[in-house]
Amino acid sequence: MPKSILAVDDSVTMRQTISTTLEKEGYSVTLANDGMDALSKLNGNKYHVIITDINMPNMDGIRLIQEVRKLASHKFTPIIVLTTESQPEKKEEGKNAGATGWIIKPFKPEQLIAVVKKVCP
Amino acid sequence: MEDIDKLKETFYQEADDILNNLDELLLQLENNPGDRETLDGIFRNMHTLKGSSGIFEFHSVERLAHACEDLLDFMRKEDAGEITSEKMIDTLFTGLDQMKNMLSSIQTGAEPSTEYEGTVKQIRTLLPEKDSQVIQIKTLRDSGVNRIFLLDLNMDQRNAVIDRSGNGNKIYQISITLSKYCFYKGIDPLILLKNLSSEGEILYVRCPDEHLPSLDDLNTAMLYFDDIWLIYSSKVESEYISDVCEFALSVGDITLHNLTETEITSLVPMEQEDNTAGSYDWGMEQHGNSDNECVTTPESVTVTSGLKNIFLDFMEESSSYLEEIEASILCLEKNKENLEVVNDIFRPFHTIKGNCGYLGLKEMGRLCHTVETILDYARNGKAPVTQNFIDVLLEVVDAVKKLRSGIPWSVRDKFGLTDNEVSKYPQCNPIDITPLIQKIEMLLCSEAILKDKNEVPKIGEILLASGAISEEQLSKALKLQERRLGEILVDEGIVPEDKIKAAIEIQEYQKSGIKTPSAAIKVDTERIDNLVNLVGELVIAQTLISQNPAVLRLATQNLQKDVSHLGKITREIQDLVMSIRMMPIKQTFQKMMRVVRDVAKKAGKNVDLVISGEDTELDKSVIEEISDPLVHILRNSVDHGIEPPEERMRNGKHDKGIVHLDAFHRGGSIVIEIRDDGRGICKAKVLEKAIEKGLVEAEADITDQQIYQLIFQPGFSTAEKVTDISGRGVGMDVVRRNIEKLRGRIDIQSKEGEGTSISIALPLTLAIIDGMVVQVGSERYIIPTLSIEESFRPKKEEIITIQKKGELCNLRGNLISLVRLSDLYHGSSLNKDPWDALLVVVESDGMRTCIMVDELIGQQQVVIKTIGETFKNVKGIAGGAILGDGKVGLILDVRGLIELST
Repeated sequence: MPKSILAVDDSVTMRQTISTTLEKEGYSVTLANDGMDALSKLNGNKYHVIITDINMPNMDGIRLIQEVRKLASHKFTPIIVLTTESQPEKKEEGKNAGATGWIIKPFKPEQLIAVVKKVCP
Repeated sequence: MEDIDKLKETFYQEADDILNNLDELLLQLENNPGDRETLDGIFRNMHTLKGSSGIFEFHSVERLAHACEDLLDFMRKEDAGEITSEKMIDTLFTGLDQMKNMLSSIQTGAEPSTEYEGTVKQIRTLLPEKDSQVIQIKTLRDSGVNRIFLLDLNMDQRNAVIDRSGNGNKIYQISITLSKYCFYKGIDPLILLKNLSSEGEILYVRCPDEHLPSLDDLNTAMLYFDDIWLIYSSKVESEYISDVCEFALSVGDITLHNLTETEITSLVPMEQEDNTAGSYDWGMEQHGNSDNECVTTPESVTVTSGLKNIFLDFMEESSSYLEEIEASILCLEKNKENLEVVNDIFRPFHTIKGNCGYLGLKEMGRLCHTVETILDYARNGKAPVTQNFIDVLLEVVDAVKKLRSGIPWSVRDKFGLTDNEVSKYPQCNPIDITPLIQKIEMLLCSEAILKDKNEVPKIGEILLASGAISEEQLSKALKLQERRLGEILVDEGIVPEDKIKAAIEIQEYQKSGIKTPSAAIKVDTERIDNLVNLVGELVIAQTLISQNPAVLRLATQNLQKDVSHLGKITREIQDLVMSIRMMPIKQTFQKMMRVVRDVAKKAGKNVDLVISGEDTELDKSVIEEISDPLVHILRNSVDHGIEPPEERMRNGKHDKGIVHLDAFHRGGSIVIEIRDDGRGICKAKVLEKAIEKGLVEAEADITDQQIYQLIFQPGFSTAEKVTDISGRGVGMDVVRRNIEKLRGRIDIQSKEGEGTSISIALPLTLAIIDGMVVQVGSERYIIPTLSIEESFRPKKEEIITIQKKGELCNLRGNLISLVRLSDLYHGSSLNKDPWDALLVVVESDGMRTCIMVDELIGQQQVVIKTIGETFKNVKGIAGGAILGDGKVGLILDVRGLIELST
């Protein structure tokens, strides 16, 4: 049974990069466009890792993390935040909301794999 | 490679969409510069573009997008409408065009032009000078070797360490202290261990389970192993471990130490040393000597108010913990066998340690950790509690206090503390804790030997091993041993069963009292003060309504009922709000234990401090202020009141002096009483001294109380200092001033040869005063009830006028001066002659005066209001209060009045 990952990003390039990279490593990746979309996909499913962008329309990443931590099914699921180095305070905000770790954009595919393995060996 | 090309294709399309989108949004923004939503949209698009172009290493586009994003971010933060200039929008448009050009050249495989550099520079000029924010990834700090932990390793583990290190592995000592809520951030220590073991071998784990609750209380969402220690052998560099632990550092502290050659050598088991020394090739040469290697940790520079609050909370909390610890240590000193108490010392230290790790107070954490280890041995009976042990513990408490007050700059910056916040804690120079830690380690080493000796198997285990009993028999026997004391007593016919039941009930009741800690929230005192003020106003408003003539005239029964109901609720709210500020005086009293101990030790006396009534509650501000006077009085009691042991024996007293510290309610106030069984105050000597200093006239008739009050005279104390007059009086004037500031009073009772008792009466709260409202002419005044002795209507012959002394009243043979408030404050008075009016006798410091009033209106609680800077120098007035009808009444300052009248 491959480990399942939910990746949330409003950029289609980013979504495809994440899914291509991780699927090659044998993970099963589900994609969502924004926080709202992600929440609907979390409903009734169980993911091992959630990867999310911060800046998104409809529902941003911080709100999403806060909502995820309220779900009984994903209370303890590692959440990785995608941030840019220009936003240290966002990173902090994400951490306070309950994020597990972060990947600084732009990232290399190997970095993404390493981080996912770090939180979900 | 296919993948990448496909992804690039997606990117080009998306980038095209984004850039078109941005064009449109920018136009919108130009027309409506203040529109937040448009601005957010632009920012988001630019952000996405930046991120995506970074992945494909289109650095030129990324750089430009980054600069644009910075500009947009700046516009977003400032009030966009006001600062968005034409120039900014123009620059953004230029940037967009350049990006389009660059992307199309990239697509065709051409080298993109470098004209964007000019735009980037242009944007820089538009932005305010930015503090260079450097984000550094945390690296694990090196805590140094923990020799105490290494003692835990058994023979096999030691051999394993030496073996692995011989094979070219590095040996790391890792400590993991995570918040118990770490699971909520998706952090699991087990995953850390899994990650570590994928690249190496975990040779030993120490994971104390002392915090693990019973199964019923277990909360699976919490981490109970909050202090994990590892010995890890691997070929990886320390950077790898830092990397693995990176995320966990946000919810705790992880330290790393690469054991040096010498440290590993020290692990060689004793009996093997002779055979193997010299023959081992440690294989350490290839990675050099890391003895002096010290990984310093640049903490990430992030300032959040959340962290700051945690820090400030910690400062508050740790101070109460330290007092708790101190009290427990002193308790342990008296009864060194009581290992329960060791546990009481251990727990708060452990909590402080945990917090230190979280807050980055490294020194304090290290010290607490070391002391924790030795306490752990002691509470398990593996180390004896000696006097030396106690002394070291107290030294640690002092060191932690000092560390607490010297907040390092690095920590200040980290939490963004302001000067104001720091100044709340006394500053002191940094201290070096290494000698103290070595002292503890020394203590431990001598006691670690004992540990091995003491590990004797239990008798049951021996019997079991020798086959004398079966396992079943053993457990049966153990069960028998577990029988309750009550049952045994009943069976033996010593105590009837119902008595036992009653005793159990009492025990259960007390247990329930201990078990449920009151759920508490922390509230800013400022907010409470506001609440108290507002409730004061509410009470006044309520009285205004209920006494309003219009309301009284209406007099329908329903309205009356409602108004009185409102009154009742208002009073209940008032009582409740007042009780919010109340705190038990326990902490302050516990602090006194230490004071008495230290003074007694220094003075070579044998003194016991007996505390009672420590649960009595007082206003928080009163508690804060009362501490210094108490220290002073107790110091005097021990230093001068209690005699040296030999003298006590000579006088037929027990060689151990006893000082009682007691708090209780009396009337409307709280009394704190300090009672000693020392030599008492020698009145004759006090009087002699006072006459010598000209404080009293030689032949003056003076009461005992007045003699004692002389001690509080400012000049009096300093001259006499420590000697002769059984000492009392050092700085006692300061004590009295402090107490009077709190509107309290201080009394002395003493009997020569038997002891002295000093009682301090304090008001329950500072915000409200219990007063008697009196009418003088058209004015109303409030006299604090605490100082009123009596009131009466004098006979004509009791009023005498004496030259230079004014009017006096002869009250049962005592002449008391008479004060006319109407003269003093230029008011009017209904009655010209005292025998037509009423006299209220007030007292302060044993001196009395009569206040002439027209009428006593009644006793009432009033909320004190200051009368402002302008009138603060008016003598005899302490403040103002709004009375029931909305008019202002002045609160009299009795002490000031007495000074005026004499």
